[in-house]
Amino acid sequence: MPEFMGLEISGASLALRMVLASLSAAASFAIYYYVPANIGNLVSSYIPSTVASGVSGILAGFVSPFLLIIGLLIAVFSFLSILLKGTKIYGVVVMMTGALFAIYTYLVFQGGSISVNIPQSSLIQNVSGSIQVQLSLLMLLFILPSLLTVVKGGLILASANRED
Amino acid sequence: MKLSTSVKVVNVLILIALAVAFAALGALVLTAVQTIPSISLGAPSTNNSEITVPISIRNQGPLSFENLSVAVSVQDKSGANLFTGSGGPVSITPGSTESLTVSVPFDLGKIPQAELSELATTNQELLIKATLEGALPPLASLVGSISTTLPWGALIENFSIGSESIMPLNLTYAQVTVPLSFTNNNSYVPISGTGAIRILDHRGTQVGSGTLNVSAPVDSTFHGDANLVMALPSNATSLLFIDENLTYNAIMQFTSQQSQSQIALNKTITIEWKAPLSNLTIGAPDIRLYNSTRLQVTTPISFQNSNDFVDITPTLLTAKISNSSTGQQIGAGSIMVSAPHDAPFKGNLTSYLALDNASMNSLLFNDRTLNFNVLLSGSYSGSQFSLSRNLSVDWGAPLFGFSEGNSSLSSFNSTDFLITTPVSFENHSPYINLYAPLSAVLENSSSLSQEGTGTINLQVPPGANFSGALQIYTKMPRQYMNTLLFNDENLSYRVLLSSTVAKIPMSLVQLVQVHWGALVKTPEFGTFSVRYFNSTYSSINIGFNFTNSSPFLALVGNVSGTILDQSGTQVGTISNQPIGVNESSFFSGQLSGFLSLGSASQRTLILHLVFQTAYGVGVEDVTVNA
Repeated sequence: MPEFMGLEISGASLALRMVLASLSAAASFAIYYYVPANIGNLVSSYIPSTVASGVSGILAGFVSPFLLIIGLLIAVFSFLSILLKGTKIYGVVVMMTGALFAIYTYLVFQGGSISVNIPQSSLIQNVSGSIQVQLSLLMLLFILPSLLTVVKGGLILASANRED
Repeated sequence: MKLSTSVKVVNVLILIALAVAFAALGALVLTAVQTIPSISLGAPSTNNSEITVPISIRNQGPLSFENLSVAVSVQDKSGANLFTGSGGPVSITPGSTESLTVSVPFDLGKIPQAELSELATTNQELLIKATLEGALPPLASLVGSISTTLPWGALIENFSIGSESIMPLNLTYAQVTVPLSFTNNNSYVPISGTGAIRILDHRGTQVGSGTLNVSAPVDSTFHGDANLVMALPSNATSLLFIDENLTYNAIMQFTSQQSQSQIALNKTITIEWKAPLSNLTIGAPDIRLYNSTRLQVTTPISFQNSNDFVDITPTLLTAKISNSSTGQQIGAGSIMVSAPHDAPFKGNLTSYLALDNASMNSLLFNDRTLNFNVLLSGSYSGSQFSLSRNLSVDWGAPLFGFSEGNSSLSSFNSTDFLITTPVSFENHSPYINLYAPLSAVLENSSSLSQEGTGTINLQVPPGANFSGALQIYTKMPRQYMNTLLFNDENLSYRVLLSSTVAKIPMSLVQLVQVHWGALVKTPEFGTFSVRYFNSTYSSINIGFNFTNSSPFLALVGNVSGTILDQSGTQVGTISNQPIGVNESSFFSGQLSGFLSLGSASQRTLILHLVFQTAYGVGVEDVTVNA
């Protein structure tokens, strides 16, 4: 049996992992990078053209370049977490994935306080404004699974080291 | 616990945490999504002081809305806060409906005057800022602010004051009708209240005021007329005579009933004042004799009432006439004037000048230039005014150049003779028609006894000359005839001329010298001759002659007498001898008589002759020789 990162795996299984990992990475790329990176264009197809540009602008404000980088990293670690499952570094990958999700969530929630600027002539004629929504608790609720994932990765890493 | 078990537990916890997180998100989204469509804005209601917008919210989500509130502020284009309002806070439990009422009072009274005026007169975009607060505990709290612009129409746009209609009531007040119009271009605030109009003169003193009730609903146009009464300048006397543009500043202040706020607007008003006594003219007077003590002066007065409105109601103008040199008042008069607007007045001011007798008499005989001052004064609508003018009038004397020529004498009858005096003068008066007798009384210049009278009728039209002869029937001076019969004399008389000229009695004294020629001048007697007549008397004859030197009297009479010797004893008589001789003629004749025989031899005798004439008796003693 060929060994991959300390894990004995058949060629077929490795190939299957590669496929699954690629699909997961593709899905993660689409969800965490492509969609945020193109949220404006995507949404504008479903809303009236009169407000499309305004809505696109507002949504684009949510997406920082750092968020997209994290999204790309999430896609990478989604690929690795499937590909490297059962390996000695799987725990690290899980921890990193959890950490990335936590960061991603924090960025999405803008630290728990979401500010929306409505430029004039974007959504409502002659109306401009800003809205600040405090969603700290909700952010924490969404960060909690990521933190548990980090814990999970730590447990997996500890279990792998004990087996050695 | 094995690590694998721990991982499983963590997996379960992850699932639970994800479930809780999505459940919370779902509750939040569900509450928002289901509630937002239920938000409905009620119809804004406006009363006189605020705009109210009810917002109905129905909470169909699982979470409660708490402390929902709205704060609204309205700013003008300069950023100044004009109005602020708020609504809430309200809390809406799941499944319930609440109304959040947002009230925005628009208290114009609290807005500074500068911003208010700008707001009242300028279309602009007002900036509305709304701050929203609320919470969906415990998951979310929201603070939002939106801003938008609100088109604000001027409360008073296209404010115009039309052509004012000004109708002076008198010299003190004028009624001004000012048509006002404006458009309330505002869609929210009606204008109603009282427009107070004040009129200030060029010094800023209020001279008039009025009010106008204004009611202009939103998006409407107001038209109205403000009627006010304004005082004309206090120094109105000059306005009687001078056209003038009177400039005033009209300040319109609208007091809004909604807010007791004031909106001020200005406009300049010009009154084109035309003098009601324009070109008041005192014309050249006509002077006539009125009675024995006064002259009547008729002075034409004219003016043009150029004013378009003011009627000069009957007004008494008085005139004081004074001597230009001394300033002493010598006469007075009055005239009632009246003239409707845009109409002329012409009239005659009749006044009377009092003169003393000497002056009046002087005016009969002497042309003069009369200089006097006319002070015309009056009062109209409480304004005193006066007009002074120096006048010169040429006076034409009706008896100018009155003169008497050299008198001529002529006989009339035995008791009177005629003194004929040529009289001439020029009637320089342009109007006096002389038609009066001129009487003369002749007086002895010494004794002042009346010695004769005469009359001549004057008929002299204005501007004509007169030339005539005044005949004075003069008494013969019998009492002096004993002297006057034999001697030339100059008789002195005083002639009192009197008449009434245009009701003015005139009198004139002239001295007349009458040269009296002796009727028996320088009688001369020849020698006498004696002849026997009878046993008692002898007849006597004496030649004699004399000259009648009178230029106008013929001598008719006789002479007789007595004959005296040198001792004065009568020795004979002179028989009555008629004598007759024309004026300025020589007489020669014989005296005859009888002489006693005893005296016939005397060589020298004295004749006591008595001349008896129609004019008187004269006695002359002469000595004759044989």
